[in-house]
Amino acid sequence: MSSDDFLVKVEGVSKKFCKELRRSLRYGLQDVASEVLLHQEPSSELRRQEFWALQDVNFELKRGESFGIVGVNGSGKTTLLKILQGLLKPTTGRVMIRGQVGALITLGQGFQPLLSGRENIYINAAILGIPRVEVQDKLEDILAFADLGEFIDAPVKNYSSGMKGRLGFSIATNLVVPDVLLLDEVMATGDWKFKERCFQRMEEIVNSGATIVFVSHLVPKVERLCNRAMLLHKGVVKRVGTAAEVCEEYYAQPDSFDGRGARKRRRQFINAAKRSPEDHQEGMDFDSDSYDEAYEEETEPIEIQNIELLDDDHAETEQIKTLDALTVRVSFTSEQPLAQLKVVVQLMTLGDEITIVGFEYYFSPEMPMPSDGEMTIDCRIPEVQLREGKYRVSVTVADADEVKGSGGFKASDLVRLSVKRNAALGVRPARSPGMVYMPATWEIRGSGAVSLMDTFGQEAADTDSGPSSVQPMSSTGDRSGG
Amino acid sequence: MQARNVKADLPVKIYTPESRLRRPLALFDEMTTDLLSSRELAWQFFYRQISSRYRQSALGPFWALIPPVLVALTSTVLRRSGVISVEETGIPYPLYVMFGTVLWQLFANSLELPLKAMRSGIQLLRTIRVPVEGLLLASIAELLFDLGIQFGVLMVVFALFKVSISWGVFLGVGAMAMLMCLGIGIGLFLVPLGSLYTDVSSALPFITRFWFFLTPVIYTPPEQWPYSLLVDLNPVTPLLTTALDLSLEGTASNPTGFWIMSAIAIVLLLVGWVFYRVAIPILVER
Repeated sequence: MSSDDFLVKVEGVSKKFCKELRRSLRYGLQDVASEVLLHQEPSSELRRQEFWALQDVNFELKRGESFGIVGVNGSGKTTLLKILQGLLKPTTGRVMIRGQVGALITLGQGFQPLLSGRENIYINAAILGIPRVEVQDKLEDILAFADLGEFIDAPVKNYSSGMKGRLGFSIATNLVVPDVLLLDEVMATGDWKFKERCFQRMEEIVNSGATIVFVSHLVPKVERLCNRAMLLHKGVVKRVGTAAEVCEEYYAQPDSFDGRGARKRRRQFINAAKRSPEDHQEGMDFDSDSYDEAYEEETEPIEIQNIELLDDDHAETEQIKTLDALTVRVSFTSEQPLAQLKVVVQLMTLGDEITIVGFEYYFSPEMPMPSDGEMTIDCRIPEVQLREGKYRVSVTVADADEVKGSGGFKASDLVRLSVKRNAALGVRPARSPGMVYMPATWEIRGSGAVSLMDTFGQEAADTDSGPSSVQPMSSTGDRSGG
Repeated sequence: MQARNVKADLPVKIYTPESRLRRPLALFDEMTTDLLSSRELAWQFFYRQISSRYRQSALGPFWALIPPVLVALTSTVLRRSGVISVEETGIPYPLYVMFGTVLWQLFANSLELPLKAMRSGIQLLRTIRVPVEGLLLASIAELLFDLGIQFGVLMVVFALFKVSISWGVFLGVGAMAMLMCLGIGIGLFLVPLGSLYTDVSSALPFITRFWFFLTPVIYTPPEQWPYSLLVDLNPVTPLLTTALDLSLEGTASNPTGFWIMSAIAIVLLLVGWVFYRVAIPILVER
């Protein structure tokens, strides 16, 4: 295998930025001067107020690989992408890219608001360097994918951001057949239907043999789309490996997030709101008004004092393994009689706040309130059927008859839960493990033999999970048929 | 086998921190290919600029005429009242001033052009790799479009005043091109400073206004020392007066000055282009 097979080669790339604007401008002038004076390379020492946005990044990509770059905000992902695109010059190191580079970094960039969507297609194509004749050939495809109907001839300034995104994505993916495709989180806009189509289109591009670099902090998407990945943290490469490994490492990173801190801040905000009610007279929607009313008195009607996550040994923990038991212990005070209250515990995804499962408890009318006014209640989940990843445990104590938006009293809070791989289950890190652990059985039919195969335990390691990799019946038939 | 051949043809891009001026051949190659490949882009930008400019305007292209007409009117009034004294111009004075102002504007707009093009394109340059030449070409096309309108109307006005324009106007076009070269050439050097600090674009209108009065537009070039020095040291004068002379009379009064300034303008433009090209990536990240 020769070095020709690499489409992307990144060697020792670093990039520094300046934190302060004025100084940054001055450095800019200095850099222009040193460029004109033929300096070999910019000094690799930091000037005042400078920091490394990227440090010594190395990787190589072959044709057909899809490579994910994960990391929290500000870890240098976008900077790296911009260097690959040739928008930013590396401070040190070398980048080589072979072939046509396509970039989907910001959608609808360069749209002219006064011109119609159709006119903008031609302008955008020109920005991407595509001649007019070629655009005319592909116009039908673009229009069909964007699916804007008659609005294609309306001025773009009247488009919603979703419509702009649709048009931009359609232009970018239908016009160019890139060898290397750089993708940032472009699917942030648009409805779910469109997102689904975007993913389909991206998978088509991967399958056509392009090399993809996909930057995201939404790890499940990286796991789904990529085979290899890199974890960046504060500009330093923490790990390069298979997507599953890297994503696991990403989850294992210590958090800077602190649920209790958030609660404190919220309380401060509420107190501040109480002190200066006149500031909140205008521009407040209905919900906030009722919110103010609810907090008119010094003490709140319901207040969550504490949320504890306990394992089976009653030890406080933030981390469990798949299929472990988990107890969520909620302490709260209430001025309302318990009979009117419900407690809701929800397990949610971290990024997009999707509720995976929810548990509700309604107090019986006979239940008396403890004398000190503080109630503690446990919600025990005997088997947490979540795969490895980070989740959020959300607790709400609210009026049992509460109708959404009716202004009933309620309090909610959340803590983080991290779930580790359960080695006893023997499930190796698969390419797309998904969120939920669910036992399944496989039944093989054909050539007269019918047998059952259990994938609950060890066997799961032999068959890849995920719908995309279900084996054809005949290929597994030989193995277990005898 | 075939796949391998295709692979070998793939363009390779290499990004390194070293100054691009260290490989002048590669840079030159890149510049010429970008210039050629950005024609379509330039046309689209031009179209976008012009059509969105006039879509919300009732007077449309006639806006290009307002400044020369206003300058012609005020300077005529000033001359009548004796505030400025001008010797005979050969053609009616207001027409002389109008023509001169159109030429001056050509220079002044050329001077601002690279910076304006950079400012309008900076968002784009930050997100997509586009040839910067496209932005420049589009702005130049826009400038020529305005010039065309102004000339069209000038012709009509000249015809109304029954003043004939010399055939030398075709030679004058060459002098106008040099005027543009000079403006854009200087303007290209203003881009690094101007795109980082807004002071430059704030100061430019004042500078050009001041410069306007140092240039023989509303008056004929003074021949008496030391006033003649003002005009002689002004790099715009030989180009502007040559364009005027050729168009109105068919002869150039100062050919040596014109050729020297033209050579300087062309060199400035080429060096400025390289400078601009090399500076852009550094400016984009700030």
